[in-house]
Amino acid sequence: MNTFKNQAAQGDILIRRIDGVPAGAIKQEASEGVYVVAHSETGHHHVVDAEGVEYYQDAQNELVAYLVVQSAISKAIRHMRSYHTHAPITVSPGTYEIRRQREYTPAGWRRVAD
Amino acid sequence: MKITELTPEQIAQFPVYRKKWIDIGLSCEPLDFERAKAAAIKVYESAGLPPPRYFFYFDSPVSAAIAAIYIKQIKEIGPTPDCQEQAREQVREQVRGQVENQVKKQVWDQVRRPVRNQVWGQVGDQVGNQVRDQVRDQVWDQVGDQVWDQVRDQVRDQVWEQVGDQVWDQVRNQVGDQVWNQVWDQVGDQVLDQVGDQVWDQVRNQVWEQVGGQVGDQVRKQVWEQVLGSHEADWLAFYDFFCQVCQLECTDRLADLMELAECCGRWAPYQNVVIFQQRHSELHFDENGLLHCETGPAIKYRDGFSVYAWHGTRLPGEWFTAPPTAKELLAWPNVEQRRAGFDMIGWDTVLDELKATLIDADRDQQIGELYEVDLPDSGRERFLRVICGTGRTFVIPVPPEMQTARAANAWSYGLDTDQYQPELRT
Repeated sequence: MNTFKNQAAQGDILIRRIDGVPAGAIKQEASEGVYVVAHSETGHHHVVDAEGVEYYQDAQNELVAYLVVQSAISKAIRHMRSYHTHAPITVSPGTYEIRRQREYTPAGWRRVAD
Repeated sequence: MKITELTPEQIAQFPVYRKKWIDIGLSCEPLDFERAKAAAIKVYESAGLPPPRYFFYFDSPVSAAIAAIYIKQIKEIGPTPDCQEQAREQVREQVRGQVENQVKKQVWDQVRRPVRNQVWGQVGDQVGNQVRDQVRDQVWDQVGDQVWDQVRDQVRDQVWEQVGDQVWDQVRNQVGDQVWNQVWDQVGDQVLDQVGDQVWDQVRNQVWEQVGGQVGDQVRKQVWEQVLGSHEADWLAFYDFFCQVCQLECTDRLADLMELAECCGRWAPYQNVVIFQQRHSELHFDENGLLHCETGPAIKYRDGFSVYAWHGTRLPGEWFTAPPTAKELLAWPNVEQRRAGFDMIGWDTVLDELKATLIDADRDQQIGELYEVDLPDSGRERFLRVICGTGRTFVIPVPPEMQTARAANAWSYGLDTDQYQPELRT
């Protein structure tokens, strides 16, 4: 199983352990039992089961979200694609920051889209 | 007595059922219209609904969806010749105005002709003006817009309930969790990977992308409603295994649905009306079972509706007649398509065409290489060429001030260079 201590990447997301969810972050509702931690244009989302998990969106930065995995429950972030699949990553209890990847354009930057 | 373990003989049947249903899901055989009609009638019968009277078939998910909208509009207006023409014109205008060229030209012709021939063949000519009122009473009034929606839901829900409540419960009660999961993993899920993920998802996404505007919304809705048929091979395979190999009792309904899956693509049930789809006429995969064709569409329907793909990634059809330039690809917004495009034209061509200079190469391939290009119109640009956790190479444009591949990775996640320390990348 793929585990990490402080930082790991799965496709176009980077997950980092942090001390706590920053003030002002907006709590999200789960959909069909999962949180979509990275939406994909073609439906190949990265998801985590909602049970025992809280998920927040950063108030300012659309590319940053927060994941709280309650004590004693490890969770896997799964990539919903049956081919070219980014392997699941196990997230042990704690608080994490989830960052989406961006890329440069002459007009500024945009989120990496797939 | 629950089945808590499968015998070696039963396990040996996994590949047989996988193959059977993958073959059904990937079949390119023409629709067997008579067989499909007979099976659909039985489905209605066991759902406790009056049998459908009119059967139509169309050559692709798009034309079937447009036809459903068209038939609905004719019904709302009524069957008088003037109104027929008016309805035809109305839909034609909408479709012409809003649907992409390919769909417009190829699909519309495919739709208009069969609808006219089939609807007015069956309803118009056959019964003639004399019984037009009768037809209106019998068909068009009954299948008003509201009823149309209700019945569609009713048929679909009843079909699902029959499968869900009856077959599901029946099978669930008779097999242990482990066997249930084992059969799903070994049969259902693998059929889903090949049929659902490689074919149906790609077809649906292509429809989504190709038809826009108001008609697009209607088409998308209709496509979504076509929930039955050969692309449902995964769960039909799952139940078929239990029915045939474990001799669990299955309802007739399931047998009828399986029969339908064997003789048509998707189909949509309505009150009095059933719309069938032809299956694809061509499918091409690479050696890993990913949707792929280098010389034309990877999925082709009989009306020309097509999906182009490169090793599982759906691409614009134009790329297969006039390959994109490296410069176009560098600015292409979808990173998966960009990757596939670079793969298509070849990395040597890319570096050559862009006159790219290597700025920095990290020892770790997952940190990658930083390149600089100097393009005639847009000037100096830098990009990261990096291998992801799945072993595929991606190209990510980064700001021109980036000096190392690591700094470029860090920037792409909004971090400082020393903050970027992944222990693991999948």
